Amino acid sequence: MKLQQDLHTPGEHADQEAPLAGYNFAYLDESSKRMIRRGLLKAVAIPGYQVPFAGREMPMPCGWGTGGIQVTASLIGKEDVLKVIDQGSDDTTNAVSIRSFFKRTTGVATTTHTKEATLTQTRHRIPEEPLREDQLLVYQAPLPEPLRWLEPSEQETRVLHALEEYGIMNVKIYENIMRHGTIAMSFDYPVRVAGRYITSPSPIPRFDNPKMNQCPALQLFGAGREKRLYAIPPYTEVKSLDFEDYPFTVQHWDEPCAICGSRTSYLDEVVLDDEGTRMFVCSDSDACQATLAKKLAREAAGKDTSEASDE
Amino acid sequence: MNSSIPLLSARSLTKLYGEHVGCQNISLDLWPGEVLGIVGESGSGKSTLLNMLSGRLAPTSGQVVYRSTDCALSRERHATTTQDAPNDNTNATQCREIDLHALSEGERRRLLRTELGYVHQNPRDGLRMRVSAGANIGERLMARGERHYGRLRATALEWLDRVELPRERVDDAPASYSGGMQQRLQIARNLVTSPRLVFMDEPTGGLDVSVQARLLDLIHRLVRDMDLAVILVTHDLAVARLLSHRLMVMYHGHVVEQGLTDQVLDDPHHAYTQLLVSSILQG
Amino acid sequence: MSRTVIEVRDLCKHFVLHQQGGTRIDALDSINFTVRAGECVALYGPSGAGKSTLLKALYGNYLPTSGKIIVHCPQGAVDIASADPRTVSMLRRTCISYVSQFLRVIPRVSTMDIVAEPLLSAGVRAKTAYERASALLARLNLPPRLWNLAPATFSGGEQQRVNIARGFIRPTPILLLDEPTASLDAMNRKVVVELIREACANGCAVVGIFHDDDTREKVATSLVHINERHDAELKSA
Repeated sequence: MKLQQDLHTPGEHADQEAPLAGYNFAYLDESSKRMIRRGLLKAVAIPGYQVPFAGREMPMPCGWGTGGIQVTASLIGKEDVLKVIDQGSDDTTNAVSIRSFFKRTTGVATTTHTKEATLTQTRHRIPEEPLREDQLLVYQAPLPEPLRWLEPSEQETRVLHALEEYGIMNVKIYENIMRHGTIAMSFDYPVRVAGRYITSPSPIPRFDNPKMNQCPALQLFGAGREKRLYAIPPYTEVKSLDFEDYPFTVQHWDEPCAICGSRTSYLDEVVLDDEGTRMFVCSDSDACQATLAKKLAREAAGKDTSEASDE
Repeated sequence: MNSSIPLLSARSLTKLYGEHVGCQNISLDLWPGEVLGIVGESGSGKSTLLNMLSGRLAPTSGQVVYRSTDCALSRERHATTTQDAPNDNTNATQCREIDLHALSEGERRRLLRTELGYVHQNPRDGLRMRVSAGANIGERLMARGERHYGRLRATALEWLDRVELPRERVDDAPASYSGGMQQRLQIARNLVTSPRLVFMDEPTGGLDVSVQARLLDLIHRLVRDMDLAVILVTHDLAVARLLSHRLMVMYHGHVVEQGLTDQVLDDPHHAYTQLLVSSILQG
Repeated sequence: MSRTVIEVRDLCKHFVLHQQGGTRIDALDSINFTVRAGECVALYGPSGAGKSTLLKALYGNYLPTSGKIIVHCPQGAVDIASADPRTVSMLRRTCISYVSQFLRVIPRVSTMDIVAEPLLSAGVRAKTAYERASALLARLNLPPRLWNLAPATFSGGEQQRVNIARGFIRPTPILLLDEPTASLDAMNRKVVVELIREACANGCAVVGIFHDDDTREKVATSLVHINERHDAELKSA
């Protein structure tokens, strides 16, 4: 993430397009980027704490990831390789639009492969491929305040965070067990970051919560409408809240991915017809492709050896 | 009530709202297990006094001292005095004095959800109306670190019994409760951490007479069984007579008369108290 | 001679009625008498002479204008006329019982709970307290079907018996009785007389107002005359 100094230098790589003329690099003006980076520095310094920032108007409506986009815009450099996912997929409308937005305003290289990306902006998933120290994960966070469910007053929630008064968060868990017989929050499952702030992990499935813990990559969260930034620094303890007699668990599926056969990834249920026929497939399309490629290679190799032994 | 050390002491409490006197120069002591009634008409300053005594409203001048058993809290606050008295382990529960208005916001709130309680006139101010009765009762315990659903639920059910609410309503939100039931739930929510002192602001106000009577009986029994100290603000002399041991009569921000409840009500000396007592409808 | 339990010295009580132009009523004027353990002193005098006022002052219910009421309790000698509310409250819980003319309780509380309350307040176990309450109510011939009902709908005599049971359940060194037999029939008056005599036999100092001559003659060991000139004379009964 080298800072962009020269605004109109064309990309160095052959696959990069020239950015749109007339716009600053990555759309946002430099002073706004600096303001957001200052906010992010504070967010990193106080893991899990929501830092207010002067969110800018972006050329798309709130709810489309304007928070994440502003974080990405203020951090992205010419050398970066960008990946954008929406619910794990690289080719849904939201992901395609945001990727194309940055491609046109920066000219940086983009990818769908988690391993190749230096900066991944995500909506509602963490990639299955483990992240590295030299990677950055930017989350789009619609509702950054995990206590909002019980406490409508922003003033009061800030006091509750300041005093570590987290009784009401446990009220939510109690209510969940009472209603469903188990902790049934399947996404946006609240976590405690570095033993201090209770934080919303954004609406990722709780399947992804364990990936946040001790993650080598820096995780940044941007909430555009609520104008909040927060962060989980690399190698930080992230604990999902639970009760002693109802410990935190992740989702499991009875069947493997219908495409790649993976039993370890997060599966989406896809309804195929009006009869209710359904299949389960990986939500992370890149990981699914990679697993499938490996599987096919293995099968091909197996075929070869079996043919060889036949001979 | 036999303890010689007051649980709560107020000295020269005054609250001025600009020119207007909210409370003028009020001092009192409250002993463990004692119920002190504060009566007077609306605007007499009784709610202002209650808010100052409970640490919710800063006085213009004067002091409120609470003797806490929360040693961590008082020791932090008075580290200097502790040094003067080394090896003061002889009486672990006998702790130092806390100036309620010198506490930080966090310490004050912690005290208010552990050793103190506050029962509001309107249960909506003291309950979470959208979460279940069980969670309402358990919240103070969860704030204190309880993380076991089974135990929380058992405690909630036990408290529903104690305040005579049907067990099967444990999962209902108080919004679906009647006024009297909401008030019982608010009391359970406060008492679940076994506080030593509970502030009550017109706890039976706004309830039907028949509901009021049963609630009074409940409060009376809980106070006796848990050896609670209570500061009770009410404009209803009948409520004051039934619940409180001692009475303070307030008029225009001043305490005009105080003493044993039945003595003040049966043999009132001050003109205002006589007027108040003579205004009770004879039933 | 047994020891002195109550000493009343120069007791005066005036009422000032601020609502009625500051009218002053001299209810008691220089009352002097003593009560010893095991004695039953009857306050005697015409209606309106201040007998009830005196009894209420002994209980700390009325605040005397001047004079002393010294009670000798296990905790030591205390002047009720000048004691602070906590001390009076403590004496009431440990030392002084009072049976008033009227029952004044929380509405809808059962008879049994009302009667057991003084014991429960004193920290007696619930089982023991309810057993004693049952025994006393039975002795006062209150039908057991009434025990779990609130006394609001009871007859005057029934309410009075509940009141008496509540007053007698916890033996104290001092017992104050304000017309305990007023609305009772002969059979129950007899029970009350027995209860008072038993209390005296146990060393209790009793002060009472008895309108019914028969009862008074049966229980009183001495009379304190309170006449309309407000001076009291102690005479042998």
